[in-house]
Amino acid sequence: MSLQQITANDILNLPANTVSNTQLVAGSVENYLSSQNSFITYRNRIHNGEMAVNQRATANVTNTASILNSALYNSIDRWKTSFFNNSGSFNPTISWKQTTDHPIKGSNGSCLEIVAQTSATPSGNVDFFGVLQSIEAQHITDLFCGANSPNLTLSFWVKTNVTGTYSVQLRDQGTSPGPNGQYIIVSSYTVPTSGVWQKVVLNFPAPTYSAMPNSVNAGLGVGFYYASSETLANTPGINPYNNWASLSTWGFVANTQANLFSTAGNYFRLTDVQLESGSTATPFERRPYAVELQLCQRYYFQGQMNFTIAGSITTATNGQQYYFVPYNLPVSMRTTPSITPSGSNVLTGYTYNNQTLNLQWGYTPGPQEIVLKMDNPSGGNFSTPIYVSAEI
Amino acid sequence: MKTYKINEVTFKEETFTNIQRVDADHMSTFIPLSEFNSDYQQFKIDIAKGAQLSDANNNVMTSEQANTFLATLP
Repeated sequence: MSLQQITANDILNLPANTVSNTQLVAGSVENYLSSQNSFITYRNRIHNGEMAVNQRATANVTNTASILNSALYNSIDRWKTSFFNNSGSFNPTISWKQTTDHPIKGSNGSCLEIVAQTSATPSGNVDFFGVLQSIEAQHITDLFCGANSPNLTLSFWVKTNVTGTYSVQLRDQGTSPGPNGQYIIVSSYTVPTSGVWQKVVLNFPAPTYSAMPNSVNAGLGVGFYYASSETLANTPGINPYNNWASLSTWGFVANTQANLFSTAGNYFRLTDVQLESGSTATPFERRPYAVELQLCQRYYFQGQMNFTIAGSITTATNGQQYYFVPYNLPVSMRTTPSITPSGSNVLTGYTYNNQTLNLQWGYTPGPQEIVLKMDNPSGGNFSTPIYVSAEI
Repeated sequence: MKTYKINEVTFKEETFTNIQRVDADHMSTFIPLSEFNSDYQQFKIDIAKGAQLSDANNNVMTSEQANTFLATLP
């Protein structure tokens, strides 16, 4: 029967498994529900793709030569920078931060903004700067399931003053590596116009070569590159452009990759990043902020421990005086987290509310609890910021 | 330069061990001995590359001692 012949009564009596892709193509249901302001949820495997959650609330994080050659989580939740300067000359000062600019919400929405504060050119083998998100392996086992793996679609919005070609790389961090390292695939897009929001849709072939383990480890890295000297021309005989290929080196980009850091003041904005199953980009899945925050707190939590010690504690049998303060985390984290109890040197002690407190030790018994050990507290009200990380 | 220290503490009648990382800005981070924790994974890489590790009594361990300790970890 054709779509025009279906009546309400037919739908009420529609036998199971009788509607196929000939009637419902990819996106038809999702697009209709979107037009009705309704969504099928959890299609998007990217967390915080709307760049709304920013627990670290860092106004303007600057990456400089002192923190090169590393991957850092220090700004918008779930996103990290990957900044390599193997040549020694690729040392731009780069800021990246949450900015209020959005293609749909305008100034009421958010994006990730990268700004070149100084200029530099990548060279040698190998310099690059990118922004990545590592997706937990168990979150994408249905996307990497051997011969049954679906095609993948990545969609996002960009806005920059530097027109040209930019690259995206997916890196399989979870399945068994191939003969030359982990499997990667590179694609690129062109920004034709300066200073205008543009939606980008990239399709990737199905990763049928291997299956993702059901684990909490890193599964898939989704990287956006803004400068790199590691072009595809450096991989003779191996072509990872729109093709899953085994390569160990990070930072591969298209041969015509733009350099965002060619001139001080250049900027790039990114938001509404969505990775989903299939070959059609459905509308961005706009999850409630509270839901997105909880998804992010599986990997990072920042809060304030406030507690009162009533009176002085007694001396323990070993002659020490100490006090253990437990704290339950709001979300069970990906794994037993690390804890940084204060923004200052916790070993020297500090004063709060006229009480001297020496924080000696932090302990994380499991993914949902932390314990702080205080030395010689004499009673009073105490407060300390805590930074808890189970980032991938 | 970041350094590492082994911490041991008795809590609820059990002795627990974790790793304390002190960064160049004197920030201390306490890292569990959990194979899935990325800070722990980086700790093992750093020690294998020669980063400084102190024992629970604040004695700096030799590379051989540090690597012997590494071999006992999950």
